[in-house]
Amino acid sequence: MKRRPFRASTTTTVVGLIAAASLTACGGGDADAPGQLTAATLVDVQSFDPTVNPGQGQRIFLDPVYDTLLRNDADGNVIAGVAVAHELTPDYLELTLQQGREFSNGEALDAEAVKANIEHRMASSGPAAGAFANASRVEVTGSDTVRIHLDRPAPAMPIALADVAGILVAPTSLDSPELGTMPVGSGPYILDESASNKGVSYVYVPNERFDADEQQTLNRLEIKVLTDDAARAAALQSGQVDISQIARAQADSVDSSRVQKEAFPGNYWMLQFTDLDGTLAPAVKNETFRQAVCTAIDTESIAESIFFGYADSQHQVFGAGNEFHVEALEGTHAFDPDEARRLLDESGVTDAQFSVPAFGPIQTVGEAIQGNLRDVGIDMDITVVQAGTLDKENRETNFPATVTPIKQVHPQQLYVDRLSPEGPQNPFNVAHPAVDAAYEKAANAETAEERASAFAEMQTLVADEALWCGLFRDQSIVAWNPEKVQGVENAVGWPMGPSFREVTVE
Amino acid sequence: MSKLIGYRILALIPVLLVISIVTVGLTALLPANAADRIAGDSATPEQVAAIRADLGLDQPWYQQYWDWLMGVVRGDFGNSLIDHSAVLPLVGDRLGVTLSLALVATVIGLVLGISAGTIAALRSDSLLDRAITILSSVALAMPAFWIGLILVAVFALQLGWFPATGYVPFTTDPMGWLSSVILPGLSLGLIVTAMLARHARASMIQVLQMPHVRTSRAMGLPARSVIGRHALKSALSPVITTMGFQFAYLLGGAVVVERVFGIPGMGDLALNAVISGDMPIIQAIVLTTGLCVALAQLAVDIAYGYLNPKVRAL
Repeated sequence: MKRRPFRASTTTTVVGLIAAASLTACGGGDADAPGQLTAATLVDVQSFDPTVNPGQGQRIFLDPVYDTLLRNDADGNVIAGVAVAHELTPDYLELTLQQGREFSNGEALDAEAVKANIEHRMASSGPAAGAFANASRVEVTGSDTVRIHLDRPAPAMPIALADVAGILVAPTSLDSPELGTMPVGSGPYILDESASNKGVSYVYVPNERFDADEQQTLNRLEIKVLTDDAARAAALQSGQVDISQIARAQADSVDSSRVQKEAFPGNYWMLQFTDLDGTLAPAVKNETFRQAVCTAIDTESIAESIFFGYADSQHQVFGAGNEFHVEALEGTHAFDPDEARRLLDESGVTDAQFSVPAFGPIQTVGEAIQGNLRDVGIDMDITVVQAGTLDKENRETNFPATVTPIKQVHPQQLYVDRLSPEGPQNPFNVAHPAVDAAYEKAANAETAEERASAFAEMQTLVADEALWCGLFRDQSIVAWNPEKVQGVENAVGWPMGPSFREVTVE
Repeated sequence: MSKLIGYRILALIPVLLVISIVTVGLTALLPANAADRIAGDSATPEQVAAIRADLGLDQPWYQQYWDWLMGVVRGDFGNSLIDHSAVLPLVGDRLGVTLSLALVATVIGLVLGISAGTIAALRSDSLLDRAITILSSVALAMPAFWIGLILVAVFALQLGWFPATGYVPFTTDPMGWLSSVILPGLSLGLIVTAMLARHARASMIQVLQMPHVRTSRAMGLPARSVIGRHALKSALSPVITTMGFQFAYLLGGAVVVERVFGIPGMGDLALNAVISGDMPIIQAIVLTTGLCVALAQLAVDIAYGYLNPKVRAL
């Protein structure tokens, strides 16, 4: 009998604690504070060191702290960054820099600092090094001018300088082993390391040495890493975050009356044939067989079913409006199963099969393609590879073809990476003399028109020979609270979210 | 009993050594490695080789292992191969979160499971017993992540009682911590509750038939005393054994639940480390998890000692 009051009080205490805990949740979070933006994205930053960061989607973490030499506008055009002007010739790229800039640690952001950064990037082995493959040396030609001398023409270099290749780190931090976690740049914000938690959330506060107020609009920016799609959607809907990337499968479940959703262009996908000499899969050597494959793929249906409509069927890498779009290629290899069967018959191929590696979303896309091809009598085998090994497989000779989203945003990058006999994504080192000639013509062109024309010729050759099947461009969905967040713009090629420069919070 | 504890602690050293060697062996079989991760998809073979050399991955596996082991002996678990952050504080922070979640789930499982099992046993073959049995079967059939999604939809998004995602350290805000772990703790703990309820019921029914319990009843001891002091204590031994095994499940299950609730535990860290081939982080996670499981088993042995005087005398 004596224990009853104790039991009652224990129960009361537990219930009271839970009630108090729930009240804590009702109190709201940091996302309600003025001038403070809380964002969520799905993948952690690989490293804040730009020599080992792949850029593009990862830029959401890097952009607050680092400036780039050049930037992209919302349409993907190259615009001024730290370099207010640039001049590209077949022999050099000259950059004219802003004056009076400083890094967050007080070091001068001048021509010498830019030279040190480019030389450091050139000497590295990471993803950014490829941008400088045609560069021979860097020269400071004036107090605010830097010239990158070229061994061979490099028409894609300006657009590459808008990504990790063009990121500027304070020179004394370039070789710091702590750069991966403690970035020192000249961007509008600095990383607050004491408030950040690796893999969980990254907190940025204003950089007092940054003077472009229109780009430094927040008092505090927090980027949370929420790897689960449902968790990100729930965090946005419950007000724990103000802006978030939303998975396509979750898009319809997010309440449109409370959040604004925008679909921004993401990655371009292709089925690339690499074993063009038929070493592993003899059928792949046959041009007509490859055309049959491309014609058998129902890209519109895949965009609708696999990507929930958040993808646009597109048979060439550069879409309408892009300076490298080729109008004449519209409709090439458009879905036509009867035509695919005819081409397959015409090819004379008896063993109509090849294989691709796959993992995650690539497997899903691969399975859809596999079904299309099976309908016309082509067997595409899918080998599921281990997580984290797809990049490696795409560089090696274990498969005759690959289904992949691509990172290249310029025809020169397509050539250097995927078509050149030495290209890392041409692992069988197959030569395409006509394509090589078209590329050389583009690289040595005197005018932009000549260059665009030569690149159009190169793309036409690729399409005619069906060196790859162009599939679609996916879209990434960003959603935010419109009553609080304004100024969200598309950042081309950043599938994990927009730039937070110029985003304002009420 | 103290001898047993001392012996078990000493035995941990070779166990952890074997675990570390097996981890190195298994990781060596993984096709993913940190150099490939850093290189990306457009690197040349020469660039990949240069990165491998930079990271020391071109050394023989036994050399890499020896270097790592010597570091561990000095208390240095090394740095991440990807961003060079120190491994020990990173894993320590994450382990604390996962253990916190596992602890809450354990408490929920023990309290609800033993209570439900005992009630079912005392009302054996009644409607209540059948209801508890059916409910525990349903709970066992539901995956923890699905329970988590339902709890978020109802208690976070609809009612707004608890946060949908995130974790607050206990040291920062105890009430905030409780608020952040209740839903994930329930997601994880319901399955343990169901498992323990079934074991507790079966064990209690058996113990209630035992002579010493029947004698106690015949002697007119109050039901509370018979159940609480005699029957329950005997019935708990197999339940505690089950709980020991369940703790390893909780550490594994927490990986999934952490993702659903956006909790920064070991789950994402382990997944990213495996995908990246980030060996120092993988080693630290496996070792610390192994240590936790071994310590949980030790706690089970100590609990046995409390429940069973024969064991205590060892």
